[in-house]
Amino acid sequence: MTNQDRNERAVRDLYDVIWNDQRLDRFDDVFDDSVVIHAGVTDFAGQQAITEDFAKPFLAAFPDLHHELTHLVLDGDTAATRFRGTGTLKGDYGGLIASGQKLSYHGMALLRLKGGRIAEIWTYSDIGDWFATHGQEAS
Amino acid sequence: MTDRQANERLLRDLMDVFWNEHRLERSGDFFANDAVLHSGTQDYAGRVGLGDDFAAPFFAAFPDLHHAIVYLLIDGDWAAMRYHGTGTLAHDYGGVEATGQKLDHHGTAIFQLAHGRIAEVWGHSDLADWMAAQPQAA
Repeated sequence: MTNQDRNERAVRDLYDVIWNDQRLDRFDDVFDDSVVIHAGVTDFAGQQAITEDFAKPFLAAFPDLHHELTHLVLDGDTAATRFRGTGTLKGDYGGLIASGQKLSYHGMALLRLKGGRIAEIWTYSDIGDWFATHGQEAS
Repeated sequence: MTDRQANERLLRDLMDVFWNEHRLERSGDFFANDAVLHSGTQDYAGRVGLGDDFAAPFFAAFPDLHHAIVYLLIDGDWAAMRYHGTGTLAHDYGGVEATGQKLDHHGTAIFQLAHGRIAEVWGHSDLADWMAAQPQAA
């Protein structure tokens, strides 16, 4: 596999394996040890923070969470994606009381790769708009 | 110039000329006639949508608006960038009262290119987070 192929594999696995199959145990296959995710204005650094503080609460709230890659741009050791996320809110999350609301949102990520694994992600989405319009706030 | 160099030139000029010199009249050099911008959950279609409805009010609110490219990716007829934008809010904008606040935001955009111009753009940024943190106009 070329470097570009390895990079594409890591980016696709982020969505297919980590997010859609919920295989957080495959973390090391996809992410560099020093990975940092900048999600909007919040940073998650390293495996512990990314899995425990970012991924697990999101997956617990939306157990059927699914992300579809709609765009993938690759250039050397950088990549960019646009994705659509869907799911059903089954657990209170982000100030919302769960009542089976159907999530549908879009986002984008800029990814920096190192040795065929993801070293840094900057991601933005419109999920905040969805939260603002889909339910009562938990007291 | 290779296609890759031409596409890179187009996007660097888009930033330097259209965004940083606020040269709205040059939009035809950068955007196809029927170009569409998907900005968050808002769509802007055509040069009127892109220029009059999207860019002009942004420039008017932040007269010193400046954007820098942090990462630029070229992949055939596709491109992407991460950018950093700064400016001073001189006029009320999007419900935010202007008190000379300093804008500092980042965003990401993906571009579909055709015939040397931009056909479609998808963008997301943290501008809304910045706006939400500012005092709201009465």
